[in-house]
Amino acid sequence: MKGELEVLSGGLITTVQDHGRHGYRKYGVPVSGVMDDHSCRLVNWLVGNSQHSPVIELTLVGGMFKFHSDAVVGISGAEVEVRVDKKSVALNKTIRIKKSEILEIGRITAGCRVYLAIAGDWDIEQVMGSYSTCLAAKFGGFQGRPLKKGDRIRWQCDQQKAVERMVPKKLLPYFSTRQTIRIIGGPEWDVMSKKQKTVFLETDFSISSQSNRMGIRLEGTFTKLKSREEMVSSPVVPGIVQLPSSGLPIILMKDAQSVGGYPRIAKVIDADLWRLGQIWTNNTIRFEHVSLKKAQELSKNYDELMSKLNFINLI
Amino acid sequence: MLGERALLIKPEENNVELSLIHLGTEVLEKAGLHQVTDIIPAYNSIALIYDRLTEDPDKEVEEIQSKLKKISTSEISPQIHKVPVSYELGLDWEGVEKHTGLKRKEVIKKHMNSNYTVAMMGFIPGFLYLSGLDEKISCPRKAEPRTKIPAGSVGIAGNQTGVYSLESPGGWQIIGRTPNSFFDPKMDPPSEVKPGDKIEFYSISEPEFKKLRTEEGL
Repeated sequence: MKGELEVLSGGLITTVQDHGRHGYRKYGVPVSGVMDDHSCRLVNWLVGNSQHSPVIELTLVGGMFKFHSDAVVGISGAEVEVRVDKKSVALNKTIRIKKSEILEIGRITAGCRVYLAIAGDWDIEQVMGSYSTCLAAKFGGFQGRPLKKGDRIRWQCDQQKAVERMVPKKLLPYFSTRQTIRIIGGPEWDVMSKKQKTVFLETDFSISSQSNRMGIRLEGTFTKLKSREEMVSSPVVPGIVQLPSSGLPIILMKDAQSVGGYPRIAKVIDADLWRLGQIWTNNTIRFEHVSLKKAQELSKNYDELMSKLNFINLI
Repeated sequence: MLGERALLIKPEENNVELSLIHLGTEVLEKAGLHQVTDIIPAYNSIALIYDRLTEDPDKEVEEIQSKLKKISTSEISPQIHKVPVSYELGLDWEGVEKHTGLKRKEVIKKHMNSNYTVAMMGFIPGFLYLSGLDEKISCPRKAEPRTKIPAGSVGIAGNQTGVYSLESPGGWQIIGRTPNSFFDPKMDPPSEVKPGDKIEFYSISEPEFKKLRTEEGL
């Protein structure tokens, strides 16, 4: 069965994303992909898609979508009011939408990003093996740009595979305004003095409104490094915490470049990185230092927990 | 550490020849390492990105070393790309002449006479960082970066020259523009240039630039 939706209102930055574009970083291509991997996995599971399927990522404000066919959808991520033809529906639960109904995703009340998955194979071309939108270079996803009024997304769905699911409680994200984000030391962790490290780990950082998909800019205590030595450009990955000469750290996120010239003082552990996709200016964060071994253990535990969701691969 | 799923390889000496980094990168690529998605060369290190946890770095290094033994480095040779530049389309000639104390003509001559190595690509997709600039024409970045630099712009920053494959903001001193593009997302790989390749510039006029650009379909 063929499906189609029409964007009535695109919201602020609404893009098509998936788990990211890998294998092209040496050409300067960012990873891209969803800012909150956890919610992306949950929504795709809700509709029976594979975890590599594309989703729509909405930021801060919602959007409106008119369905020109029946559809099975899922919505997860930030806390938000969702209505189908003006009737409230629940998040984190498979939703059935009938032809010509309007899905309205309201203003976000906690968190920052909402994910919408639609059951089926989307009629969107992969670029370099990914459905993700690369905003900086304007390619991938839906014509390389955010969705706007009038855009139409089409898909092919086998009704036989329709599922009815609800996210188990223990997998639901929580949105505390004060969050602890765990880190491991980065390659240049030791450019900070012992005292600077203590201050860094005891500061409640607030989030600058200049933050975006490239990086989360922090505000709080300044860490001014003594050595004015220029660093040569070195490889970076999402989660790396850079310390520019301003003294205010930046956490690199999914649209970040593949090399950077600032000291890489820390890296947010993989098991916590998705939480930053839900962080905005009303939050504060504090870093907690853990060992690499502990970080890998936490990653393993997380993967184990998620594997119980038992993804169905639609081939 | 670069992460739970990454390894960072650094030569023991700090000021290593760039060619060694590129040789290392290419050898690692040919080694077919288990579950490695990206190998990123930079000035004095190479990052290996895995799609699994790298729990025992010693074991990973052992695997790398055993694979490396089987690779012959003789088949590795960088490609040379000859790149046309219209220097008339430079935007910052006034500043460059002031900083270098040289006339435009001399700067162009020095810029064309050097052979460059693609040190790395990054900042934006397809941006070429080229090493090998004649130090007499090195220039600091602009104090106020431009919000928009046209695609194909050739610039100088510090002791590097570079090419903006895509339109973007940037702070390099722009001395010309090439009709060639080094990034096409529709191609796989998306660029015919890779780190380690050699670049040679030659001068073309503005009308030639326009003609070549039309032929490129830009």
